[in-house]
Amino acid sequence: MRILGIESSCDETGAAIVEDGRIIRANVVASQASVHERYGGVVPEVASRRQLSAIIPVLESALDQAGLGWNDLDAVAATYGPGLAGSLLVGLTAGKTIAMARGLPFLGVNHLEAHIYANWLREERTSPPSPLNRVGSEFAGPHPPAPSPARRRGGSRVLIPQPLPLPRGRGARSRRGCGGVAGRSELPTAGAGHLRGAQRTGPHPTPWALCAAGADARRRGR
Amino acid sequence: MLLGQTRDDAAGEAFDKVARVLGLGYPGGPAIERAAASRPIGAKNPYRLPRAWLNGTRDFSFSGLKTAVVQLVEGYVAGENESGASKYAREGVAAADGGGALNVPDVAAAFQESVVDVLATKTVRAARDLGVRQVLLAGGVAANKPLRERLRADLASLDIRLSYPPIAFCTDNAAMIASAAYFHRRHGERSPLDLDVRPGLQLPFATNGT
Repeated sequence: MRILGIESSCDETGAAIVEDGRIIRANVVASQASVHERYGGVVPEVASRRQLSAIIPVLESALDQAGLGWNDLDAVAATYGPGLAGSLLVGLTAGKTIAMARGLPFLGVNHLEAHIYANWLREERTSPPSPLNRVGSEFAGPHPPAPSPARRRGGSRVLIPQPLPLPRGRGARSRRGCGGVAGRSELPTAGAGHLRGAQRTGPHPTPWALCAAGADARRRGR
Repeated sequence: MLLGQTRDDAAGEAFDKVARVLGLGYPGGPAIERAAASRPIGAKNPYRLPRAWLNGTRDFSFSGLKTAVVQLVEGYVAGENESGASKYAREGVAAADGGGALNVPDVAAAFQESVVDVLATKTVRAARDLGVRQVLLAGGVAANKPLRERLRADLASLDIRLSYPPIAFCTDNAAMIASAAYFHRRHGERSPLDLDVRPGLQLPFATNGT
């Protein structure tokens, strides 16, 4: 059973597709943390507006990531509490709307209870098979967001296939032996490849997302 | 059955507030964990912050601890550690090398140690008294590594299993929403489409603490 889950209780906008309660087919989170950082906490009125600008791109990214369409879903679920009323309304309304439009069962979920179920989640993916890294970027689009598809796809976390492992060729090994970053020159290539692919199909990553992916790969020593 | 809960601030809220007064940024959990981990291994901490045990209950309280940190910091800022500073803040200041600057990693570590100590001690005691076989850790603070390690060690000595989510699923995410929904849907449940938001929703357990 494939369920689309939506989370919007506070300052993060999330959409995920999970199979049989455990297998994650897609998991997208757009965080507003940097927006609220200067205040040292979440500003509710700002949070709900950001939820509104992030929800559609995040939902689209989740479907893209899973390689699934609306017809592949068996149910829709969304957080209905506890949390900030204005933020909750965005995800709950989106979830109910999708369920109504697609004739799917809808389930309102208790956010606190759901945290407990996170214990059974595992990042085993049935698809896509390539090694993937989760990279983060802040959804920092203007408000209200411009309606162009490019802009609407501008935020949210995206998955970028990482080059793995390092090339085995003699040249590559000697470069790695020097300890420099040059041996990882396949990283930009992967990034550019993803951009080209994304222009055709997937979510369009922001430059920040690509930078984050690169930094993440370097940190992992790949 | 709900055994205990916070009476004031959630642990995560205390982390956010303390990180803010220490100038460590938001969100507070990872910021404080990082600052505390930046201290030299085995370094003695001159600060010791209060623990609200609320003996005889399984409830928690973190607002007093939070206030102790605030007063400790304000004491330094104002340069008058005595006036308005709590007993604990005075002790902390007296213990620190006198007149020096506030050592932020030390304060962060003392705060984290206090939260972890109370959460772990009371959880382990409850698990032992009730004879449970497994403890599940969840929520944002479940991502805190010192808390995971302390609980794992203490529960292991009692032969109680501990499980916690991968760190990426401790913070808010939609995968856990879909997962929870699956287990409800399997029982044929569905919600009405006029379902409204419930900002003050609690865990669906009967309250019966002690």
